Amino acid sequence: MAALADLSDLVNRATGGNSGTPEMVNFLKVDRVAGAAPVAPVAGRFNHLWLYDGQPGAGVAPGAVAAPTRATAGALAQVNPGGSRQKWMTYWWAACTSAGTLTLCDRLLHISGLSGTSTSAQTVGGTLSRYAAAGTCLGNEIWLDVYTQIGVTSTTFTVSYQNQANATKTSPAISIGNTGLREAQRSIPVPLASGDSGVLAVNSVTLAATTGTVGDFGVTVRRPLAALGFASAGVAQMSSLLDQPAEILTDACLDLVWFSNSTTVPLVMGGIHMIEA
Amino acid sequence: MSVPDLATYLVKAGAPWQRLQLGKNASTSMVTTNGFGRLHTHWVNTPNAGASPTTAAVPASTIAGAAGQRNSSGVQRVSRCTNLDQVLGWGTTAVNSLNPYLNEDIGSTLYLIDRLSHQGGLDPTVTTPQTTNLPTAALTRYTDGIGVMIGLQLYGSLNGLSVGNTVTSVSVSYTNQAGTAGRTSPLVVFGGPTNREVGRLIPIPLQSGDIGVKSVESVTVTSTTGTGGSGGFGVVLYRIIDCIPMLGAFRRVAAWDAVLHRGGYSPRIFDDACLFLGVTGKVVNSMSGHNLEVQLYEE
Repeated sequence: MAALADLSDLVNRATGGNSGTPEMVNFLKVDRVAGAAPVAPVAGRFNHLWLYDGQPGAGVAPGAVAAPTRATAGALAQVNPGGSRQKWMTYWWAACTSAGTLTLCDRLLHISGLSGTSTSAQTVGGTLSRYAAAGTCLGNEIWLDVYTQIGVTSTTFTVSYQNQANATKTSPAISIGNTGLREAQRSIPVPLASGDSGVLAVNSVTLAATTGTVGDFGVTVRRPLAALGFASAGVAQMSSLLDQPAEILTDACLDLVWFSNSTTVPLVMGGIHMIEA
Repeated sequence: MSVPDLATYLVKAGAPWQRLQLGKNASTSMVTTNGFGRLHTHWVNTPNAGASPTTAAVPASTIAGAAGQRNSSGVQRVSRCTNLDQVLGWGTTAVNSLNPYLNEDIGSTLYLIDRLSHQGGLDPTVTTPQTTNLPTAALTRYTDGIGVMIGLQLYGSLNGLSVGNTVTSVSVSYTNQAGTAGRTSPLVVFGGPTNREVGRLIPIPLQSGDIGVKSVESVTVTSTTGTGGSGGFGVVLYRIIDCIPMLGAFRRVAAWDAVLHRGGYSPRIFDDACLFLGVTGKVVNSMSGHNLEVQLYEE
């Protein structure tokens, strides 16, 4: 991080000197969605926490494609850096009511309203507003997020996307539908085609066959920033810039993804400390 | 002001101008039913037990239950958190059997919390919107409300339980960070195991679009929890200052340092902050006392 000269600079900025503008964003995700118990996680599957009630307040299914920002309901709503400074996460902590892994991401693009029964190419589109260049899109990931449960019929899907060289590529086929891969709040990571390492845009999603229920699913493009692993409930984990430095881009839509090792619905609380440099 | 460099910080951290000793016995309820990872507090636990509040107030730094730190002439911050070298046994009950190191339990996390505003006198059997001793007293710290959290603190004592055995839900009407009143929190579980015990602090989520709270105006329990009376619970507006994880029973925690372990995060302790301990445990039915030393320095 060229913007931070040394530990003295870090100490100075973290205590408010040199326009460090330190900010601690505390967050909470309770084990509820819209005031009701959410679908239980499945061990070994990802859950997006976008719809989970908490503080800041929960997000909603995005609807039409959009590039979410820090101002989007559901984002952690950190302050943008001032002047020409960058914003850096220097420390974060979290505690949870179950074991698993919590990943902090920048939510770059999202859409919902896709059908679990359509076998046509379902358009995603939209334009990334962060990590949107050939050199910065490396590490952008495509996820399929379920908002309303889709069907019990196992099938597969593929995603058409623009890779880091802006070439049109198709992902390998990924399983969808049936137990563990149909429930609301489930999040399915999409691998990229051989040789690819980044995503500039997502064109469409195509189901190989109907899952049997329309439901509501969508595509989210995420940029993972940091992760915390919880071996047990109740014991907080933390990391600092010494092991997980992360720049928080202007207008970043900070989002959380949960990788569960049980069927216990997570309740998460934590904090993210950031400075400007 | 700020700390100009690492050398200055090390000098200040090496000679803290205040050391806060926060040692507490566990309550019976914390021992019997803490629930995986559910937030409890030591507010009502001995020694220095806090009282159940009544009228809405901004609790002072020196009231019973608070850490009692003195104010600074400038800015004071946390440098390190650690266990005490030696601890006098505070409890003589079986659950707190005398142990000179009474460090912590089966594994838990301590939270240093600033209690910004509180009230009490709410009844878990009343199902109409309750405004007794509400709205909460105006914030004197974090006055923009951003990052201020709502919790329902369970008081009372009926066999160690605050509210009843019947599982229901609760919501809160509040004013958000923009000063918009009439915001309604989504329902959360209230009553029943892990949500009825004395000392529990039940965090309340916010309405979609909100990022903070300036005040709470009413609380509505969906249906009676079946046990309890007035004084059973109340509203706390709070902000978590820091967390200190402890991995196993009776393991002395090495000092958590702002620079070495928290990437420079050296939280400010505002004048008159009412500091107290929260805790989450990793084992469902066992928790003993905790002690924590918080070291402060002046910029």
